[in-house]
Parts: sequence; structure tokens; C-alpha cells
Amino acid sequence: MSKSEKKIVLKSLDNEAFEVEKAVALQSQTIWVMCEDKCVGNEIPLENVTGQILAKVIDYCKKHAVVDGDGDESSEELKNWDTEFTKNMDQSTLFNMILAANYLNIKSLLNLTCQAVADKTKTIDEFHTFLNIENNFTPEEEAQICQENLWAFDD
Amino acid sequence: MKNLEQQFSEDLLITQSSNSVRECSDPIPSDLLIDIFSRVTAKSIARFRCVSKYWGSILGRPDFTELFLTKSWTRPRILFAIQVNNEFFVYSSPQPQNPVKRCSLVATRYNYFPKYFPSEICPPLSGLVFLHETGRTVRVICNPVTGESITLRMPTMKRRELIEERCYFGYDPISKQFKVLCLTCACYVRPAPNTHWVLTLGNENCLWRSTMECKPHDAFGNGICINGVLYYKAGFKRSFMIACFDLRFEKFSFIEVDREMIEFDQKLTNYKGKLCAHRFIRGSNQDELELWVLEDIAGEHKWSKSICVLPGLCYDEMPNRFCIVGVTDVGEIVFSRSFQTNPTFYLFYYNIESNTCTRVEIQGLEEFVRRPKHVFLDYAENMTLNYASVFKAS
Repeated sequence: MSKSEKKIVLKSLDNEAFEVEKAVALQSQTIWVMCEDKCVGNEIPLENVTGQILAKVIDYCKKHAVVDGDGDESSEELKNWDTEFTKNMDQSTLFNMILAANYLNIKSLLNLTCQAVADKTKTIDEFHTFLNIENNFTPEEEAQICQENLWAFDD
Repeated sequence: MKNLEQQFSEDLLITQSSNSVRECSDPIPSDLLIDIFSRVTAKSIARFRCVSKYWGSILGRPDFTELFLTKSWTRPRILFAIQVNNEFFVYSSPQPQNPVKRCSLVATRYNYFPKYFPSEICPPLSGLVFLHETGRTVRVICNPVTGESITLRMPTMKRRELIEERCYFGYDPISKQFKVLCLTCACYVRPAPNTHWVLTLGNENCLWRSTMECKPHDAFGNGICINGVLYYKAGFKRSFMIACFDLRFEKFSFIEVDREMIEFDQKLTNYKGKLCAHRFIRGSNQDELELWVLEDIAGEHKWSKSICVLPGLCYDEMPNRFCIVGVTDVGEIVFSRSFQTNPTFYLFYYNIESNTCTRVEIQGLEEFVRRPKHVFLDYAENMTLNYASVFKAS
């Protein structure tokens, strides 16, 4: 196989191009199907993902491709890497990562990012921000329902 | 009825306002939102149910609570029940596997159990705990997360003063049913010609049924439910056996014990999905743990014995009253001290293969120094709401 066939170019929504190893990109089921169908050339346009997010997705795929390949790194280390990877992402980035992982169909990344959002959504305020919704209880109803769930608010 | 996702997508169009604080242009698809919520803790779900009527109803729907329970099983927690006078304060913490040295866990609090509840607590099954108390007829099934509880009325029997009853709580994962097995016998005849009653939780005709027949036996000791089978010690005139009650088919069978187990002072535990009888052998220099694991070899039951010499568990404290909390999926035996005078509460993870012991600190229980603590592994948070209402209807 020639060098060019091993590489693939991913093009983001904002026209940023990333050249990556095929093995890295093929972790995405969506890209895999595109390549199988030969409906694209060596350059794959990803219309739903920005360059900023795609760069992160590729980081993730690179890390996981290497590990799956030679098995040098322990699953423990990989787990730690995953934790660090999502640790400092803000909510907006995480949401976009979820959408990208969903669109690109990368199960493990979707799992990781959904868990990260779940771990960061604990308080009512975080929940409001998350869904951008308003409280439609009457004050009496709210008092009653909070009373019933008092234990959940004690810290 | 519309499924959860359909209902969700339709309603979300109404509830989401246009000036989204999120920077991303697309909303997160509803199936992903449901996925995310099934991963948070029960405490967060209880909070989020108070956010709006809509969310209260979505997060209370049976299809959501079922998904939540399924996910809960994949992230089991440790349950702590602390007895203060007649009350139980209930906490839970994440359950680590292969904990590293100096690991600490934070226990978070649930509702406390009211005073009138019985004081002996059985291991949780699919999120529910069973409470009973020697000398009291009242039995309670309780969900620590939702605070719902059900008080069981015992089967009615003639000449009550001569009757002794023992109840075991079980869960069958295939039919997803909770059942209570109640054995009643006359006090002064051994073994007593007994009657067995079964009750199914959540069944509309939730009544005690008495249909099974089996060898008369005495039931004693703690019972344990593993994969839809209840196990407890059964006493006959001159021998002991293990009684097995298949919860799904409601059938009894008996397993012989090994000759060496004859004293039969072991306690029953779940050892990686197998029945295990264990006991401590205390020596002057070291403590040993004797384990009898019930193996199924080509359909035949066989007890396999192993002895572990416990390493430095005692540290500097005496008397070293350890009890086994349970065994993790990877085969670590978890110990606690039932009575601990230290302000810090510890669990001890003992790895049989490497013969090492790791101490895990539990934070959040500092106010309960010198209070007896009951600890259980593999607790799955269950947010199902309707057990009590279904039960009351009967």
C-alpha cells in the first residue's frame, strides 16, 4: 500500500483540513462506511463538525488507535488519559463533542463525553443551564415537591 | 402510549426557548439526553424531578426508571446503614474495584428510615432493602432512594403464640419480580411441619400464597439471594442442608453440606455469583478465613474449600471484630469492623490472589463514631416509583 493510501484527509465545517492515518479515522463508523462505499475520495468533508472540535476528536482517536494496535498501554493508563481529556472541557465544548461523536458514530467517545456531562450536571442550576428551561411550578407546588425530596438538597 | 423519546422530542420543542445559552447550534438529540440522565446519581435525579412539571414526569416515567436501574447495575454502589438508637441513617458511596492505596470514598446521604422500622437490615436487592426484627411481626420493604416503603402484613395463622415465622427477601432478575418467602412453624416441634408462604411484590393480587410442598425443616441464619435463588440453612432432625428456593418457579431443593462443614456456623455470602459459606478461625498469631464455595460441576454440586491467612488486618486495634461485607466481582473480599471507635471509618479490601489488603477510607460518616454500621456491596440505585402504590391497592 502506498503512503498516500494509508492517509486520509478530514475536512471540517469551517474548511480546516486534517491529514490523519486511515486507522485513526476508521474508528468513526460514519467515516468507515463512507470509505467502504467509496463514495468519497481521499478527502472526506464533515459538514457537522468544526475544526476546533474535530482536532479534539482526532486527538482522541489517535490515542485510542495506538493503544488498540500494540496494546502497550494499560487500560488503566488509557482510562486516566480519558479522564484528563474531558476534565477541563467546558460545557459547550462537551456538548459539541457529544454531537460530533454521535455524528461520526464513535461509541467509546460518545460514552465518555455523555458520562462527563452527567458527572458535571449535579445541581439544579447546572441542569437549568444544560437544558435552558424554566421552572413552571407554582410556588406551592415547588415547596411541596422540594419538601418531598428534601434529602436530595442537603449538601 | 408514546415511547419516551417521542414524547420527549415533541415536548422539548415547546420547552426549549430560542435564546439558548449553549453555543452549539443543534440541540442534543433526545435519545442522548436520556442517555446522559441515566448516568447521573439518584440524588441528582431526585433534584431534577423538582425542576419542572415536565421534567418531573419524564424522569418519573417507568421507561426512564427502568433504563436508570439497568445503568445502575453497571455502576454498583456501597450502601451504609447506620443505626442511631432506633433510627437508620442511610448513605451510599461509589464502589471501587481494585482500589489503590490511600483511596478514599465520599458517602452521600439518603432519606433516613423512620423510627418504627424494624432494626435488622438485609442486603439490598435491585435497590430495595428488607427490614425485620427478631420478636416483632412487622416487616418493611424500603427503597432508600425514593423513601417509599411497604409494610407487609404477615399471613394470618391460627394460634399465633405457637407460631414462629422467618422471612427471606428475594429478587428474580428474569421475571424482574421481588418475592418474600415466609416459613411458619409451630415453636415446640422440631423440625416443625411448616407452611411456606410466598408473596410477590407489585402483583395486583398481592396476597400470601401457600402452594408449595417440601420436606419439613427449620430455617435459620441469614438468607442470601443469588441469581433468582434464595439460599438459607435448613435444619432437619439430625442434619443440616442448604435450602434453595427458586424464586421464579417457586420450587424448593436441598443441597448437602460437606462433612467438614458439620458445625455449620458459617455465614452465607455471594462469591462471584456462587454460594459461599465462610467463617473466621481466630488464632493467637493470625486469623484465618475459611471459605466453602459451592461449585456446579457437570450438574453436580461440590463444595470447594479454601483457607486464607489474613494479613495484618488488625493493625493496632483490638478486639479485631471484622465481618465480611461481601465479595467484589473480581474476587476481593471486603471487610468492615462492625464496631469502630476511630472517627474515620474504613473498609478493607483483601485480594486473595496477591494476599494483600488495602484500606479504603469512607468520608462523610464522621458524626457516627461508635455507632454500628451495616455495609452492603453491589447496591443499585432504583428510582422506580410505583412499588408502594401497586402494593397498597391490593
